[in-house]
Formats: sequence, C-alpha cells, structure tokens
Amino acid sequence: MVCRLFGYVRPLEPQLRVCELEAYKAVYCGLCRQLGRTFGLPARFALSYDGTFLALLAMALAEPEPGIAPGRCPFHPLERRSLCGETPGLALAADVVALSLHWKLRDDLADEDLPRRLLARSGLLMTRGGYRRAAARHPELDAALAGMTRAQAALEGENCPDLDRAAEPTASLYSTLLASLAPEEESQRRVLARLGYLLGRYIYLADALDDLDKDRQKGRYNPLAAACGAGAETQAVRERGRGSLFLTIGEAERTYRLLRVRRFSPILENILTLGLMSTAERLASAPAGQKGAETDG
Amino acid sequence: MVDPYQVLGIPQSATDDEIKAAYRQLARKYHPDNYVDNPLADLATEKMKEINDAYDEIQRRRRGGGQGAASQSYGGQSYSGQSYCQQTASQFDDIRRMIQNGRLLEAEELLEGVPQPRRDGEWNYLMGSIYYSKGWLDTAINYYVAACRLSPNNLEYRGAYQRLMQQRQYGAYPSAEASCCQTCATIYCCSSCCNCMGSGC
Repeated sequence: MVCRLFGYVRPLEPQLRVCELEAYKAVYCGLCRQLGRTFGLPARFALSYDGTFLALLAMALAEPEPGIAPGRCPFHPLERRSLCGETPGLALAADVVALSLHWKLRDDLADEDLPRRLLARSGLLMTRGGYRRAAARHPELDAALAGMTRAQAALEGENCPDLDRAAEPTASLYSTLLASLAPEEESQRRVLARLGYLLGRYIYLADALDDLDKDRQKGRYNPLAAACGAGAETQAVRERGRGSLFLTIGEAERTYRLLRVRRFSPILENILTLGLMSTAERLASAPAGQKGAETDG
Repeated sequence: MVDPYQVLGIPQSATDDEIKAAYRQLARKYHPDNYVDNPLADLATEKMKEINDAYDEIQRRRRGGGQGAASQSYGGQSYSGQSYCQQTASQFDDIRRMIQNGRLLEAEELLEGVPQPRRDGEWNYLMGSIYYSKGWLDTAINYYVAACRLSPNNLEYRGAYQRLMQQRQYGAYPSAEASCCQTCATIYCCSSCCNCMGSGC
C-alpha cells in the first residue's frame, strides 16, 4: 500500500457501459499524468481509485468541459490511450494525493517495523518538494490531514472500542475535502459534506475489515475487532464489518441523490452503489491474503 | 421555468405511460419517508416539489393547458413525518424542534442532562436521531433498538429502526426499498385512475 488514498472507492467495471468505462479510464490516466507533471515520476505510484473518484466528482461538479483526447502513457508505450485534459479538478485531486501520501509516510515513521520506517523516510525525502508546493496551495487541507493523523493515533493509543468514534477522524477529513468542492453553493456544500463524511467512514471501515487478519496476527489495534470484543470469532467480526459498511453505503447513496451533477452521473452512481457494495462484499468474505488496496498505473 | 421534461429526465416525445413511470420512479426516490430524521430532508422536499410541479405541468400541457386539470401528483405534505409526531404526547417537544433545526449539539447536551428515570422510548429515539444526523450510524441503531424496546407500539421508532436495519442488510441495492413502496404506488395509481374516469370513488 503506497498511499492514504486506498483503493476502496472504485466502479464495478462490468456494469459500466463501454463509453463510461472509457471516460473513467481517461480520468484515471489523466490523474496519473497530472501527478507526474506536478510532482515527478515517483508520485505516479501513489495513484489510486480513491484519488480518481475525487477527480471524477470534482469534474462532475465544475463547469469546464474536461477535454478527453488520445495520448500516450510512459508505462504503456505501445498503445494510445484516452487521456483527460488538465482541469482544476484533476489538479486538486493530484494535490490531495500528494498531501495524503506525505501524512501517511509521516505516520509510518512511528511504525515498529524498521524496514518500513526506512522506506517512509526515503519516501518523505523524495516527495518533500511536491508536498511543500501542494501544502502551500491548500493550507486548509494540509491542516485537516495533520489533524486527522493526530486524532487517529490518539484513538489507536487508547484502543477505542466505539466504531463510530474510531471512524470520526477519517470521516471528518473527507467531509472537509468534499465540501471544498462547492464552496459557494450552500445546498450543494451541505450534501457534499454529508456524502464526504459517509465516504470517509466507509473507507475507514473497509480498511479495518481488510486489515483484520493482519492486525490480529500482529496484535495491533483494529477498530472492528475492538468493537466486537477480544473473544469474538473472526466470522462474527466480518459480519459486523459488512453490516456497518452496508449501512454506510446505503446512507451515502441516499445522500448522493440530492447532489446536482453536470456529468459522469452514471459512473458516480455505479461507484457509490455497485462498486462500494461489491468491494464490501469481497472484503467481508475474503480469506486472509487477498488485498483490496491494490493500485496500478 | 425549468423544462418539466428535463426534470423528469424524459424526451418531449415520451408517451403518457413513460411519463407516469418516470415520475413514479423519481417520486419513490425522493419520497419524504426516505429522509425522516435526515439533516438534508429540506433538500429532498424541495426536489420532490420540483418533480411534482414538473409532472403537473406536463399533464396540464397535454390536456390542452389551463383546463383546470386536478393535480395528479403525490401530495407530499401528508407524508412529511411531522404527522407521526402528534401520535404521542411528547415530553421533549422543544428538543425535537431543536433537532429539526439542526441544533444537534445543544439538543444532545439537553438530553444528556435528563435524569435516568425519565429516559423513556422517546429519549432514546431522539438520541438515535441526533447520532443518525451526525453520521454515527451504529450508535444510532443502538438507540433506536432501545426506543423500540421501551415503546414497542410506537410506529415512529419502529420505522426508524426498520429503515436502518434494512439498509444494514441490503446496503444500496435499488430493490431494497421497492417492495413496500411498490404497493403504495399501485394503490395510489388505482385510486387516481378511478378519479380520472370521473366516477369519483
């Protein structure tokens, strides 16, 4: 896992129409190119589904038409791909990816594992310039991420058994993040703040479910395990996680309906219903070793 | 005015049946019952009104306009959730109003100050609504459960509890809410057809 933007917010691709999948991939590749442009090659490895969703949502709300044109990708030199042109939404998503990466690495510095600490330190050095530029552009988001990282560490320290309270820092962060996409329109901002809260909650719980086995093996804090009590069976904990995820997804979809979007509506709908549901289902039934947070470029 | 066809998401050439189907689908989606206790309920009501207006406008135009065609759409008001509130004598009326106005922190503080013996079904239900508004969904369910246990016959508490339990089981599958609303829609449709025929039953 390279980045705080895990890969849990993705579409169920077989259910997208061919043109929708094309548009989704164009945003995906466009974000990757934007990361390379703004922060250099190493940042491209931080590309994630969650970052792509943010870019997609930002573009769906903004007026300017994202120009999609054929282009080339250095990682796939032989094929021509559709790439989304530069838009403010893409630039914002790239900045958020860079900021999240920085705070994730800062968090890893405190890890007990030596190789992980070394990796984090070298990663921080490599991405320092990019982080500074992104933080200068969005000081409020940088502060929100710093606050989230601090609050999260405190909750882990006290072994918080309350699922809602444990999810609060990540949920609040996403609430701030999404609300910043429509600062001038009050009703849109309210919808985005709630949608962001629920999405952040979903991401936090999905990650907890994904890491359940690993955390239990290493004796680390896991919010789902803590909520179910020490003696709970793994299957029961998984069921609990599935229920809480479904509850959150249903509420997120109910909230999304109230958002007025200019484009990409079928893709966003696919992600928020089928995509999130199938990811939750997979995490709840997955035996150990099947990771949900893969990224590819 | 916004194009009513655009509001319903259908072309101008749509048949009467297509219009009705599109309207019914949207009305089911934005129905106030889906947004009870929701901090965004006002936006859903607005959206519902927009849909109702668009449907009425199309009906009016298709009948040659202005012939005093009776409103065909769902009459939103009767579903607005407030109707439930009058069912029980409430000891927390002002706190209810606070929650409806989004003053969650104050409301929570006041409820926390209520001594243990006075914490009845309604107290638990209101705590549940506050947590639901905040997005603390698991805590909300726990309070709703307690509210139903203390007042097993209260429809308002039961409705809130069932809504979340269903969501926990089915998530965002579109079919999850269809079953019960399908019945309402069918009943509604039949009764409105009767009215159209002029028999006034």
